[in-house]
Parts: sequence; C-alpha cells; structure tokens
Amino acid sequence: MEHTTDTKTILVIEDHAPLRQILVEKLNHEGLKTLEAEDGERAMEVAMKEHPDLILLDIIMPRMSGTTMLEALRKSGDWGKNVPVVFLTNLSPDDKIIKEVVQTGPIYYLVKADWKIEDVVKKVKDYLNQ
Amino acid sequence: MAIKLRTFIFAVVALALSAFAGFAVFNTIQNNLADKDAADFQKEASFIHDTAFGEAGLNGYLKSLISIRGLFSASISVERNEFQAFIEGSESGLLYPAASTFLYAKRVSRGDEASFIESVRKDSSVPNLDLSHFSITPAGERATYFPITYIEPKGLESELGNDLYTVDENHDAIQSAVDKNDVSSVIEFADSNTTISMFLPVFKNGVSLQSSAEKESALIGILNVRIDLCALFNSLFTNNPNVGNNTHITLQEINNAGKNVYELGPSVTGSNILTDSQEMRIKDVDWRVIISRPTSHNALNIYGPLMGGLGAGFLLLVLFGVFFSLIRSRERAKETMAALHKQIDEAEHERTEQSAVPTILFDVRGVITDANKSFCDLVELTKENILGKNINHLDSMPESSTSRLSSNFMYSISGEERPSFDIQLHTRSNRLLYLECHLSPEYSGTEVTHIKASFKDVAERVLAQKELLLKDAELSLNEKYLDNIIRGANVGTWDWQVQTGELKLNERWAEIVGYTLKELEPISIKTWEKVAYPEDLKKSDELLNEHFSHHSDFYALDCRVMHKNGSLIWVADRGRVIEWDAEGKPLRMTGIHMDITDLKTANEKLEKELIDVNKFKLSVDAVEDLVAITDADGIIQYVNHGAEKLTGFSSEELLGRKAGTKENWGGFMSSDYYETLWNTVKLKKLPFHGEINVKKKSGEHYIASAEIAPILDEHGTVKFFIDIHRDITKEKEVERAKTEFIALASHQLRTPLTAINWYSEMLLGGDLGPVNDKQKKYLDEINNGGKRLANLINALLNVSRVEMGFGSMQHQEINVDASLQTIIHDHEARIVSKQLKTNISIAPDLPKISIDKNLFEAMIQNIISNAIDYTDISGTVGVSAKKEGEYLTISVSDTGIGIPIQDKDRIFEKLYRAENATTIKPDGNGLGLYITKKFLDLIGGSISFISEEHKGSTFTVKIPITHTHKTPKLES
Repeated sequence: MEHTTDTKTILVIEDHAPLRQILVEKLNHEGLKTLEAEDGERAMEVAMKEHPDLILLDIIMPRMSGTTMLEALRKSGDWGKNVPVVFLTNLSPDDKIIKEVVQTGPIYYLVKADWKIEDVVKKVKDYLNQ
Repeated sequence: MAIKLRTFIFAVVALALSAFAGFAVFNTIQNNLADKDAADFQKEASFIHDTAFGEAGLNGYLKSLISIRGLFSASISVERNEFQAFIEGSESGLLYPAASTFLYAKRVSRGDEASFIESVRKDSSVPNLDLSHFSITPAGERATYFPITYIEPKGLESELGNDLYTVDENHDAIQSAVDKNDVSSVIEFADSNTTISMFLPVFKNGVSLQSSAEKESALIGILNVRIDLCALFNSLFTNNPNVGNNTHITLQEINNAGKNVYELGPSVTGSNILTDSQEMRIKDVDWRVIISRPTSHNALNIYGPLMGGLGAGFLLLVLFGVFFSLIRSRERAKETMAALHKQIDEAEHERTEQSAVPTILFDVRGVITDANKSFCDLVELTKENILGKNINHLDSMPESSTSRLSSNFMYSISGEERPSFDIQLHTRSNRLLYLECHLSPEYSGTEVTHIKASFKDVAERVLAQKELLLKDAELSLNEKYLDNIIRGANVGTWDWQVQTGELKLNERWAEIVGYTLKELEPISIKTWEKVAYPEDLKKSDELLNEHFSHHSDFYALDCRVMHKNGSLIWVADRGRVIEWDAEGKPLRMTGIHMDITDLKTANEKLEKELIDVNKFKLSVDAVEDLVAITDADGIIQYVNHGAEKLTGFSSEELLGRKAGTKENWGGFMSSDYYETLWNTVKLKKLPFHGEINVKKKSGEHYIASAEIAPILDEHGTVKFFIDIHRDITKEKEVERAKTEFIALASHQLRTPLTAINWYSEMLLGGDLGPVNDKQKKYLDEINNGGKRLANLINALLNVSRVEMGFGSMQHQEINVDASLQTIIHDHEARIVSKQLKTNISIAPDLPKISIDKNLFEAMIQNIISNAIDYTDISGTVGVSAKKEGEYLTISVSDTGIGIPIQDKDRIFEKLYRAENATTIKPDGNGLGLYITKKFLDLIGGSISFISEEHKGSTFTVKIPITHTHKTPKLES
C-alpha cells in the first residue's frame, strides 16, 4: 500500500502502550498517518511491508531492542538504509547504548521525559517538511 | 950449635935491625902521635855526641814518645792494658833504664769528672791493679783536668789521678806542646838526677788543627815521658870502651845559661888538653856536649925515653901493641855503634814484630822492608809476599786508598807527623778490610830512614758509619717520601709530648680549622682541647686512655672540631704512641688529621637517602599495584611484589626483559596503541595514562589503569621509566553495574513520568476539548511536577557522573558558539516573558573544544537559567565567550538578586541553596552549581563569581582548550 505524497506515514514503535497511544493520537491530530508496533520484531515486519516515511523508535523493548532493529533495518536494502529514524527513548543521551546507536545513523534521539509531546511532533514535522 | 949460632946471629941482627927500625919507627911515632891523638879524640867525641843524641839517647826517648802518640792516633781509645803492653814492649828497647816514667793524662772537662772517675774505677783491663779509689787530685773545680790516667812502669800507681796541669812547671810546657802540636820539655835540675820531662799532646783523629781553638777542642790528652838524664848518660858512657877513662863529658842545656846537666869522668886540668864541644837541638831543647881529656903523647913522652934503650923489638912490640890497640879500639867503637844500631833496630823490629798492632815498614822510597806477623795474618799473606812491594803498586788496595796512603807518606818522609786516616785493603781471599793507618817516621839521628805504618781494623766503625750514613740517607729519603705523602694527602700532622703537653702541628692542621699556625700560637695540647668539639673531646680522651693503657694499638676517632668560622668540621683523628718510658707510660705520640667533612656529610646524606630509599622501596613493594622501573629502553630493572602478585610472574621472570611485551604482561593492545605510548613517553617525554588489557602468567586477562612516566635527568634525557598498573577490572565492573543501574533506574522512572507529562500536556493543550480554569490550574501543577521530576532525574544522573570521576566523561569535539546559541535560544521564551534585556557577546574565532557535551550543556544551561530565574523582570542578562590564552572563558552576568555574603562560601556545596534563592525559586534542587564545579575540577577548568546582593552576579567559567587527560578508547 503506497502513501499519498501529501499524507506522511509515521511508524511509532513503543512497547509502553499508553505512550504509544498518546503519540499516535497526537500525530493523527496533527494530520499525520501512523503505523504502530509494540516491539522490534513486529516493527521490522511493518516497516518492511509499509515503508513508512519516518520511524519513531523506542530503544528498550521486548524481543528486539530498538538498536538491533535499526541495525537490521540499515542492512535491509536501499529503503531501510535511508529511512529517517528518530530515537525516542528515556535512556540518557550519554548512555552507553545510545552512544553505540549513534553510529547507526538516527537523525535525532530525544529523551521522552525531557520533551513535550508537542515538541516531539514539531520535530517530526520539521524534518518531514525539509 | 950452628942453628943456635945462626939463631943467635939472626936474633942479634934482627934485634939490631929491630932496634934500628924501632928507633926509626919511634921517631916517626914521635912525630905523628899528637896528630893521631887528636884524631882519636875526635872519634871519641863523635861517638859520645852521636850516642847521647842518637837513638840510644835523647832522640830515642823522643821517638818513643812519638810512637806512643802513634798508638793513640791509631786507635780510637787506648786501653790501659794496651798502653802497658806498648810501654813494656819498649822496655827491651833500652828506654827504661833512663826513663823514670811514661804517663798519659787524659783531658777531662768540667762536669765529666764523675763519669771519668767512675769509668777508671771500673777499669779492670789490667789484672791486679786496684783502681777503686781512683780520684782526681788535687780536688777542686777547674775548667779542665789532666789527671794521670795511665802510668808506667809499675810502682808509680800512686801518681794516678794527679792533675798534671796543676804542677806549675808543667803548665807552660803543656800549653806550649798543645800550641805547637809538638814535644815540649821541662828540665828539672838536680845534683845527681836531673830529669827532662817531655810533653806531647794527643789530639782527636781526623780533625783540623789549624787554629789554637781547634787544637784546644781537639785535645784529648797529654803524654809525658820523664827521663833521668844522669841515668841515661851513665848507661851510655860508663864502662863504655869507646869512652876513655880520662875523658870528661859535660852535658849542658844551653838555654839555661850553660848549666850542666850531666858530668862524667875526672876533671881535666893542665895545658895539654883536647876539647870538643858540639851543640844539638832536639825538639825544643838546645844541648851542648863538651868532651875533654888530656893529650895521649904526654904519656909517650914520659915512657918513651925510658923504653928507648930497651931493645927495638920490645919497643916494636910495644908499638905494635899500641897500633893494634888503636885499630882495635876504632873497630870496637864501630862494632859497638853497629851493635847498638842493630840492637835498636832489632828492638824496634822485635817490638814491631811482637806488637799486636799490624805494622809494616817502608823505606824512604816507599818499598816495604818489613811487615809484622799481625799484619801478615791480617792480609793473609806471608812476609815474602809483602816485602819489596812499592807503596804505589799495592794491587790489593783500591786506588783511592793508595793515593791517600801515598800522599800521607810524602808528608811523613819529610818528618811531619800526620793524623791517622782510613784506607781499604783486600786480603788474599779478597775480603775487604777497613783499616785506620797511622804513619810515623823513623829516624836515624835527624834523618828519616823509614816510615812505620801501623794499622787498626776499623771495619766495625766504618761499616757502622756507613750504615749510619745509609740509614740517615734512607731516613731522610723516607722523611722526604713521608713529607710528600703528607703534602699530597693534605693531612694535618701532630706530634705530642704527652707528659709535657708540648704539641707540634703542621700548617695543614691549622688550615683544617681555618687558622694559620701563627694564629694558633702558643701551640700546646690546649690548642687541640680548644678546637675539639666538647662532646667528642671526651670520647677522644677515653680512646687515648685506652691506647695509653695498652688496650688498643692505635688511637682512631672521627670527631668534630670547631672551625674558625663557627661551623663544625669532621676530622679523622689517627695516632699512635711512638715512645714509651720505662714504666710503660706514653712519652711521645704522633698522628694525623684529615678533613672528612665532605665524606661525612655525603655519608650521612647517603645513609639518610638509603633509609629513605629503603622506606620507599618497602612502601612500593607493599603496594598492591604493579610498579616497575625500566631503563630508557624499557628493560625492566625493578618490579615490586604487587607486580608479581598481579601478573603471576616472579621478579626473576620479569627483570631484564622489556616491559609490556608478549614475554610478560603485554602484547594485547594494537601496535598503534604501543606506538602512541612509546612516542608519548620516549619522544615527547610526557607521562602516559591509559587503560590497557593485561595478560597474567596464567593466561587470565585484566584491565589495568596504566601510568607510564619518563624520569628525566638534568639534561632532559630519559633516565628511566616508571610504570604503574592498577587492576581496575573490578572497578570497571562496579562502574558498569552502577551505570547500568542508574541508566535503568532513570529509564524506569522516566517512562511513567513521560506518560504524566504528555497526558497532562494533551489535556492542557485542549486536544481533548476545553478545560475550565480550575482544571487547567490542577493540570499545570501535575505537568510542572512532572517537569521538575524530570529535571531532578537529569541532575542526579549528572551528579552521579561527575562523582564517578573523569573516567565517566564522554568527550567529543563541540562548537562552543553553536552550543551557546542553542542554549540561549532554548531560553528565549522565558527571556521574552520576563522582558529581560540580553547582552550576548560571543567572539567569532572561538576554537572547538573537546568536552563532555552533555555535561557542558547542562553546565551552561544551569548558569544561564539561574541568571534568568534570579533576575527581576526587565533586568539584564549577559552572555560572553572568548579565548583567553589556553582557556575558553564564558561569563554569564545578571542584574538579579545577587548572593548574600554569608552564602558566598557555600554555594558550590551539594544541595546548598542561598536563602534568597529558595524564596524566589523554591523548586530548585541545589545541584546545578555543585555539578558545574565538580565537572570543571575534573577537566582542569574553574568557576568563579562576583556578586553583590540586590545588584547581580557574574559567573565566569574557564575551560582548558586542550587538556592532557586523554582517555584512549578501551579495546578488547
């Protein structure tokens, strides 16, 4: 299923349901389509199938962590190599895990607790509008 | 009958012829007899004259006197028995009959009397001679004594000890004899026994006798011979067939106005008298001998005519008898003279031959004519070997001795008495003899006929002298050598008369204590006591007493002495007693001083250093970390116990190997890593810090925090390296666990917090429909609480990180300008809402810095947000950044509430908040400035502020642009 060029699709990968739910609601509220996944494995399937325009990626998740998934994604082919990924995590940016994933090329990493949900969406839209 | 007739006729004719001839002869005799008588008289007179003055007479005694002196000259000291033997040996030489006394008076100086008397009393060289009461007479003090020491012949011993000099008559004669160095005589006139006393001085050998002072000091004694002149001449002329019965002999000593000394024979009166008078000087006495007798032809004239008529034969017979008797008497006179000479010569020869003194006789040509047994024995030759040799061709004599002998010989034949001299002579077996030779001329009348050379073996003296000279030379050589050593070694010397306290020091001794010898005067043992350090002086005295009581062989002490400049000098004081008295007490002690201050100081320093080094080594050994010292090439010189414990290698396995190679604990890092390490420490000569992967001997690995530091010498050359490893494996694990815990905890806290924040935001944003004011107020509280909690979590994470130390920093290069702009931009909304004026001044050429971005941003954000928070509406906030030398300076100023004085000291404390701040911003957590200060301390930066309450504050942060703390990434 191909997206229309005017309506961008965001894949929200978040194991914590309340946060996933409110992010989806907010993104939809702001006129963006959303796809959801509650773990890395599922997210990988969805991503490969739906080719979203941007991925919001949690790190610590069951089954497959965000970093493992991103690694797999970057190796999955042309689309996977280039799709913009924003880490949305509660790990500190200087955390060792974050340091490792910085190499795999996310466009941002945002600490959820430090960011207003409004600012998160704004950041996503800013990138998509570039 | 015919024969008888013929015989008768012959007898008659012969008688007639004889008578005729007798008459003829008688006439002739008558004519010649007077002449004949005069000639006979002359012969008789000559005989008397020659005998009186010759060898048998006065001259003989003179010679004997000279030969006695020869005995003294040939010998260092003539013993009593030698003197006796010599004189007794002369007895057979016709000397005694007239000589009443031979004596030797030794010269004794005042002060030596006692020892002289003592030595005489002890003299037992002549048996049965009791000298135990010997003393000098007359008693009394005189400048010089000439006590009769030896006297011959026996029976005169009572004269021993009489001082010759005190007899007035002798006085001048002795003085004159000494002055002339010759015989001086005194004649004592008496009716029947006029005597002549002859004095001869005896001088020390081998000294100059030019001046009278020299003679005076060289005089060792006086020889004296007393001759009874009457006895002498009686022995010569009475019953002597050469002297006629009618002959009258008179001996006069001319200088005493012709006083008769001796007379013999009937007085001669009348007209027909034959007289002869001859004068002779013997040494200092002028003699005259007058011989007279009546003419002989008076007798012929009386008897001739009476006999003329008695047959010619009878007369002829008488005349023949007269002739015969005349011829006989002449021959007898000759024979007597010859016999006398022979007797004298034989006596002399016998005396010589028998003498224990080795003697040879030279004639005036220098040919040896005699040698006694003693000499033959000495040179191990027979007389035949010796006789006939010339003085100049004595092949057994070294040349120098020959020439000395020859020159002395020349003097001797001219009659000069010479002192003895030393010669050397080889025996047949080539043994070298050291002989003292004395030459004395032998006279015939006044003419020297022979030279007698007497010898004395003086090997002992010469060798002793030689040895002494050699010793002296050696000693002086040794002294010189010693002196050189002393000078070279720069040692002070001391020489101490222990019992008197007299002390001799050399210049260096004084120099050691900062003085000159002159400055130390007067020098005594007190000088030492003055300069010695009191405490050490006590010790010195103890050690000296130990040495003095023979408990130690040497005295040796290192002690302190006080230098002129007030400092203390260390001196090595060494010495030894070199003379002890009979009771074993020290008399003289010598020793040295050496300045050992430098040595001592160096030693003390060394000892202290050694102790320090030991302490240090013990400490280092005890340390659990690996400590290794390598040389400049990285070869291990030392490892501590920690190294053995940590790596499992023994020190034997480590020493001498290159540190950190596969042989020991290294080789597990990349070659780049090792290259960087080596470049840093060896080429850049900088310390290197890093975490390295280390392998134990067992194969197990551990992580070590390594510090490798080069130690440089004064020229900046690497002397060695110190390598310190700390096993941080456990720390690393703890750190990781802690980090993981904090990461997880903060993650787990943040997740629900995010839900709270985001849901309250959504409600407040009206996304779910409008909320009333009260609801909005409540939702704000929830949302603010969530935000504060989020900030607190971030602050606590930072606290944990700065407290974990430098190792937890995550450095990356940042653009300060951009960071500052972003942070300011993030605060834009609040600046606007508080209507604050901003004053931003960021220098355009700020360098990039390598720093922990998160902490840097947290720091700047904290300072800027403080400035905004604590500044009233419409105030001013300024931010400036510039490069100042090696630092980047960022200042944030405000016109806010300022910091109360009482809080200024404490605002960097953890959780501390100034009082005015808590009022304005009750939700502050008191961690911001603490984190900032800690962070800056860790990276070598600093923070300072200027603040005045109610006026504002300016915080200035200084960050080093480059810092040495580089943490290479951990590899595995």
